Parts: sequence; C-alpha cells; structure tokens
Amino acid sequence: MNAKRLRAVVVLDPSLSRRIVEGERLGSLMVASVAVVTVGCSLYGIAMGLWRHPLQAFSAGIKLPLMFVATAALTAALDVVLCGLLRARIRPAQALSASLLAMGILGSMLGSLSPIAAFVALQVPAPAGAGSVSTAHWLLTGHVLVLGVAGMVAVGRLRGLLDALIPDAAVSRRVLWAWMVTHGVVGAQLSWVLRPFVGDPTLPVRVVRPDAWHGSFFEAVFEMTVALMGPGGPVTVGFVLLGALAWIALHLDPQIERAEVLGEGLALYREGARARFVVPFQDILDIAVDGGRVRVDWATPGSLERSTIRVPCGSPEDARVLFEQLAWAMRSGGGYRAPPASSAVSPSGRHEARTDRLETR
Amino acid sequence: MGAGIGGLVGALVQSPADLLAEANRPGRSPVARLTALAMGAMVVVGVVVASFSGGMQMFVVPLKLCLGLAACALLCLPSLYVFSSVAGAAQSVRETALALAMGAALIGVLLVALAPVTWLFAQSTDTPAIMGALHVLALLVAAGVGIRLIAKVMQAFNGTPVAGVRTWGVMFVVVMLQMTTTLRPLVGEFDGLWHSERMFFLEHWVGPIPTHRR
Repeated sequence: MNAKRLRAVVVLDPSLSRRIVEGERLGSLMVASVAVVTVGCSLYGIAMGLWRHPLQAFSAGIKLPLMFVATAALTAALDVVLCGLLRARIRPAQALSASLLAMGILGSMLGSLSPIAAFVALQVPAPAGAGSVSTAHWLLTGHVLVLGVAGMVAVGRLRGLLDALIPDAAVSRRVLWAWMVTHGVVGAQLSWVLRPFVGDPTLPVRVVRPDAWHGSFFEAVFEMTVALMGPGGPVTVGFVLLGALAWIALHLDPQIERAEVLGEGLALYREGARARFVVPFQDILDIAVDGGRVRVDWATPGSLERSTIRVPCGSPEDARVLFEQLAWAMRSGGGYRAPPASSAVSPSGRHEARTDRLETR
Repeated sequence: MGAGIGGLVGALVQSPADLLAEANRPGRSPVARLTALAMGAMVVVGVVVASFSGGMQMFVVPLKLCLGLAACALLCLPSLYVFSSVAGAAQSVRETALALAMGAALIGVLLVALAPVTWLFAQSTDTPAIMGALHVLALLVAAGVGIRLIAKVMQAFNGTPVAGVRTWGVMFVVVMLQMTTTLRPLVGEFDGLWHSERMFFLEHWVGPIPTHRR
C-alpha cells in the first residue's frame, strides 16, 4: 500500500466517497482503512501507556487498534441488517467500507495527536508518590476527551459518507444514529475488557487485568453513579438519558426546507442535506392537503413499508398549489406535458413549483 | 432477487415484496428456503447461547432452538390465520404460512446479527440470570421486528392493514417465552435433555436462578 493511498484515506479524498457510492474496489479501500486505524491507534495507544511503563505503552499500542477493529468486526453483521431494516438501499460491502473509512479517519486523527499525548505523558509527574493517582485520573480524562473529539469528527465524516450513499437524508440520519449506538455499546464494553490503557499507578503493570472478563462497562458506570450521586443516581441518570433519547428521536428526521415538482418526481431539500432526494412519481401512493402542508405517502419498490412525508408550505393556499402540481404531474406521468397555470416551465424543460411560495420552513 | 443465502437475506431485509412476487409464480414458493434459513440461523444463535456453558450444551441448545422456533411457528399458525380472517382478511393458509415463515426467518437473521454483541457480554458475566435476560432482550427486539414484517405482509396480501395481527403478536411472544422455559436449560449447565417439571415462564425467568454457571 503506497503513501498516496494512505493519504487519501486520511484526508477523505472525494474520490473515495465516489468509490464507495459506485462500489469500486471496496476490498482495497477496507484494507487501507484498517491499516490507517492500526497505525494511528497504535501510536496513540503507545502515548497513552507511556506515562506508566514501557510495557504498558507496548500493550496499549496493541490493544487500542484491536479495540476499534474488534468493534467493527462484532458490529458488522448488525450494521448491515440495520441498513436493510431502516430502508437504506446500500450493499453490505458499501456499508462496511463507509464504517471502516470513518474509523480510519479517527485513527488518522489519533495518530496525529500521539506526539502531543506522548509529550504530555513525559512531562507530567512520574507515576510515583502521593499525587500519581490524581495524575492518572487527569490523563485518563484527557485521553477520553481526545477520543471523544476524534470520534465526533469521524461521525461527522461518516454522516457525509452516508449522505452520499443514501439519497434520503432522513434514512441516512437513522442509520447514523443506529450505528453510533451499536458501535458505542460494543466499543465501551471492549474498552472495559481490554483495560488498562493508561495504567493505575497503585497496581502492578499488566497487559490486561486478571478480571478483564468480569463485569461490564455499564455495571462500572452504574456503581460509579451510585458512589457519586447516591442510591438515586442511576435513576436520575436514566431519566436524563431517556430524555436525551426522546429529544433525538423527535429531531432525528431533518426538516424539509423546500420541495419542487420535477419531471422524474417530487424533489425534497432537507435541512443540512447536501443533495436533494427525489421521490419518483411511480412510488407515490397518495397525496393530500393537510392544512398548510402536503402529505405524501410513498413506498420504496420491493419494500412493504409505507413512508409519509409532510411538506411544509407556509399556508393552505401554497399547499393547494403544490398538491395540484403534484397531482397533475402524477396523472401525466411526469413533466413532459403542458404544465398547469400555477407552474412555470424552466428552460431545461422541467416544470417547477412556484418555489418562492414553497420555500418555507 | 439474488440466488443463494445472501440473496434471500437481502430480499428479506430490504425488499420483502420480491419474496411475495416470487410466491405468486406457479410452482415457486420461498417457504421452504425461508424455513431452512430460520433453522440455520437458530443453529448459529444456539451455538452462541451455549458458549456460556459449553460442553454438551453446544450440541443440545442449537437443536432445541431450531425445534423451539419451528414449534412456536406451528403452534401459532392456526391462530394467525383465524385471527386475521375474523378481522376480515382474505389471504389463504398458504399465504399466511409464507408471512409467518418470513417473520420467523427475519427473527433468526436479526438474532444472528445480534449474536456477536450478546457473545461479547456473555464473556463478562458468570450469572445465568444476567445472560438469560440479555438473550431474552435480543429475542424480544427480534420478535418485534419479525411481527412487524408479518403485519406488513398480511397488509400487502389484503391491501389494507389487518386488525388483530398485533394482538396475535403478543401471543406469539408469550409462546416464545414459554418455549424458552419448556426447553430449559438453554443458558445454564446441561442437566438432561428434558425437564418433566412444568413451569410458567414468569416463574422461570423471575424466580430464583443459580447465580453462577459453575
């Protein structure tokens, strides 16, 4: 594997997104992504363990990439099935490539931060003396923050990849969240099993704890919450998490900002989406005016699921205009006949809704 | 629809309407292939469940899970047909069997997809109760998705949502939970192929359970 190919993964070259979308040479792309994860996370792992002992650095240099690669391996089947169930029409190899490429970006970020982490590890007080436990806690907190920020950047890139792969931004967001949950749960447990990464100065240096397979990350969080907040702590944290999940569920689908009737179907422009999503006329089952919105029921070919979109139009009159244009276009089988009075024909031949009246939130 | 197991899984997960189209062609019914897929999936799930205890369970649990899912489907097929018919549905017994086979196969596929995650957590506990709860949680999630597919297939056959399928789904879940009790032990140590003692699933899952596998 040459440096050019590795660099393409690191900077997420647009050609890679195109390769995933077109399904070209995905095997070599996955290998390149795993290589970047391995090298980048190894370097950062070494920096994590450097403070405690060279053996700790060596073991963390192996365990950190192992954690990410194992997370990808253990969630691969679930990721693919979730894509299907969430109606993302992508091939398994495309799903895995996108997931691994995002992980590669995480690895590259961690690798780039490893010199700083190593510098800090060698500058803070050595793991001896009274304050060493506190130092270990601060180091661990810092590493968790770095991993969190790198993870967020990787998720941002994964979002872009999924948007390129999945035309419907609403489906793309659902897949992104589903993957984040599965990867988060499995990754958290693997981090527990493979601990320590920094190393507790009060314990002997070990590659893995003798009780590595005992308990779980979530039990540890539960116990820590009880210790910090008392017996009611887990319930409080549970309610906060439920509230966060409810908020995410309510705001999961990006808002439709604009809609227009094209020759091939109804084009939707969602908030934050980079491209429009077109619902072909033949997939539309039913349309109706619902106050200031137009309700569109549609189904993907082959799927038994029926989706409903509510296009906001600002006022009932605007909704009626869009409804009539859509109904006319569906009856005529597209945009090749004379449009109704409320539409305007563009030079390209497609007929558009009066977007000045439909560009509403 | 692509050939082989990959094509069947893909059709089941992404485009179940293709399976219905295939069933409409004379002499082509995907029920046998769906049943084989469900059984194969339960063998894989059985090996993962049995990995907690190991030994003889590695052979017994996959067999029990295959028989268990098949028995649940057979026990619940008549009620699915009658419930939907009472609610005004007009699909045939053969079509009802196809809907049920699709639901059962999807449950199997989803359990296989969840198996690596449950395996990971299985390695971190010695308590059959926690392990059992984890597997039951996975089963409930898979059953929910499978029952939803059954409802969609029935809707496709009848052109309108069929009332009563969700109610039937609750019964199907109860039957599956009872089956996990009838076929016990699935998670714990092997202590014979069959328990003659009768027990309700709530008593089994909520009652006192050995705290350690060994």
